[in-house]
Amino acid sequence: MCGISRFVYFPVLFIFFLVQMSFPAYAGKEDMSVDAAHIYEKSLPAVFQIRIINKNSGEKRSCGSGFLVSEDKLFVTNYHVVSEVIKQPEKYRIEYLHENGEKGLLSIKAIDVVNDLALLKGEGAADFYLKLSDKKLQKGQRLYSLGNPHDLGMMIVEGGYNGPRKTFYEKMLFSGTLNPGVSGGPTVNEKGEVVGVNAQIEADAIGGLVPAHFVKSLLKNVELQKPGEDGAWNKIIEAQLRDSQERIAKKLITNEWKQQKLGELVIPKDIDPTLQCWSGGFSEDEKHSRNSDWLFCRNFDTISINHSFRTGRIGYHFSNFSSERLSKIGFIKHYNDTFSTSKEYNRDREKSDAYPYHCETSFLKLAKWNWKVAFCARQYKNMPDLYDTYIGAVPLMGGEKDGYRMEINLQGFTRERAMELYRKFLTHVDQK
Amino acid sequence: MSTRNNRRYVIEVFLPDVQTSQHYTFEEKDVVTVGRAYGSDIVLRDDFVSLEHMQIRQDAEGFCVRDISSLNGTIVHKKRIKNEDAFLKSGQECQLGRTRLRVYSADHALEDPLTLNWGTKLQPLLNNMFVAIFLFMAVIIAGVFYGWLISDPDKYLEEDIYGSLFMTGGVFSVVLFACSINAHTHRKRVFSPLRVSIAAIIFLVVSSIVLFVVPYLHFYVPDMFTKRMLDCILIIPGTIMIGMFCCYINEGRLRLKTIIQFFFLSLILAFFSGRLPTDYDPVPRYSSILVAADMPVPNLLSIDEFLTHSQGVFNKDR
Repeated sequence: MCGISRFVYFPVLFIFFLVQMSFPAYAGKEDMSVDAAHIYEKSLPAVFQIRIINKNSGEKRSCGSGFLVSEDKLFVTNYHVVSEVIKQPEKYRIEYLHENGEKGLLSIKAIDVVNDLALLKGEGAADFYLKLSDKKLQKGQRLYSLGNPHDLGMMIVEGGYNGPRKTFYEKMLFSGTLNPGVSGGPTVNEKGEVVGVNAQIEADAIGGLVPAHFVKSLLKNVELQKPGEDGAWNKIIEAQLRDSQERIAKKLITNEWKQQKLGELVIPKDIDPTLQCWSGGFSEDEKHSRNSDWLFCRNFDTISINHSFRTGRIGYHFSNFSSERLSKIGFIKHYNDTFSTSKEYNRDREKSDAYPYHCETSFLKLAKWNWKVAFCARQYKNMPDLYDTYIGAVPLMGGEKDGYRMEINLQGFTRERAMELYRKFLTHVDQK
Repeated sequence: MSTRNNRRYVIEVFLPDVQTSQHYTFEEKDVVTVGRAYGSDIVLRDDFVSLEHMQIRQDAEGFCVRDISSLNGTIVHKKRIKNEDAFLKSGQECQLGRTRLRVYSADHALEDPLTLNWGTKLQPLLNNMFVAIFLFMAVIIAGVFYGWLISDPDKYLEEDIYGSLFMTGGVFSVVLFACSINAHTHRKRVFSPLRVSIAAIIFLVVSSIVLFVVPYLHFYVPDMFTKRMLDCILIIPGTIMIGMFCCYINEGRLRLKTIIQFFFLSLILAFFSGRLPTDYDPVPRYSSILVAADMPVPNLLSIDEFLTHSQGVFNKDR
């Protein structure tokens, strides 16, 4: 036994050293989790759960995350975390809760609706706060996101920076899982400096972050924001929204639009890189009584004012129809139905947010055809200068069994800007 | 006996402002004189009656009424006569001044008192219900036939047509049923099948108008308010006129004055229903009617004109 073991000893020793030498590749990984643990431990005193509490029951309505960002005990979170408190301040209050059980009241000091940020002031919280990073990020750089998903407890998620998102409002893509509840939590680099604020779930394991420089500028302007006498933030929200929409409208108007064909119709193309376009269709068969092609473009980043009220959608939808099988009357019935049921608007407005639509139909000479056009607008209740606007239009084809449909939806623009944009849209519609 | 009875007659006098009537019975009297003078056979206290106003004479067929140069004349069968003769059947009446006279021959019988003999009273009602159901079925069959004519793979149009015709048939049956009950309780005769058929034709014509004419009117309508107004203006008087036609069909005439009153009432109703507040609707609703024909377009706008014109939809809630 001993004799054999002497022979075995050297190879085993050799293999052992070999394995030891090959380990450094894995050693990094060990270090990484040490990093995450280290960062978690280091940042934890400044990271909190933000709870929206019903004043009457004392129980939470929703929760998000937040972190301390300055010496004067200012917390950062997402605007959408506290939006219900802004909507119904008499109903809800805001509290922070730390992992160690420490809790206290918070009040809103400043908001940035467009970039989804809010600054909250608290008493009695820890003195430690997180520093904001001003370094440029590189694609693939490791980041750590902190937050309390689904009220399960404070967690840290590793991921990477994946560049800016195509959007009207600057956002960063984070390749790591964000869950409901982590909104408002910090995303930090390896040094523990905040590079962004967790904001939204873009896709499975892809999150959207608000860049840290927006937090910086909000911190600078915190004294400038004075809510109305009754604590109403409507004026501030309206001003921010107006500025942002003004910027977007100007961008769209100065952009050079191209044109593309859909059947006989020539329609706008590439009005802005932010808009994503999709197109599909179907042919006449057992399931479908007509041929159709459709194309729609819209932006997928909208601004949340409160849980039932999002705005900032810009979209257009074009389609064509033709049929062999349908009778003339049958076709016109279909055509009628497609004209009256529009697809390019969101249905989630509440009575408290906006007035109902007012519509008017008229006849428009566009390209060679005469069009029947419905123009609709609805005013926002607390922001009387802003409107959702909608155009639905079809050319009058007489007895022919083919047709087109055009829909344009612009949300949250002033009427002058909306009209300018519609003018540009309509002048870019032509006929082959 | 019978001769004697035949020579006997009764004149019933309804004086103005008096609830009851007086009966004068005459036997073997050729001529009865009526007037304000005390020498008359029937003396009337009515300032609008002349001293010697008229004469009544019974003949074989009924009664002959002669006006004798009265100042205001005598009204017989809604016609004013002066120095003329007119003929009255037993049970009919004439009017002098504000007084009415009704004449009865000896063999005039009062109507039977109303008895609750449902077996015989319900029979005509049931007959009419069968007519109504038959016509209702006919309307449905017409709808099916029409649907087959313009057959459409997706059955869109059929649903509309069936729905409208079903409604029309249903309303028709209900109106006819109500009219039958009305006629029955007022001891009228049951309407003739001819009149019922005329009513059914009017129903079909109106429903066809709703289906085939109204879309062409709607095509030009600029907003939902006007559309709702138009709907009410078309539907309410249409329905009322049909209903009135059915209700008056047994009297053989339409009362124009009432129809005009109803028309104006429905105009007012239409205006208010057009203004009725609706529930909050997050979806834009607009008048979207398109028609198969190549219709002339009255106000064709250019892009600039369209944008200026559309400014009207802003500011509506301020």
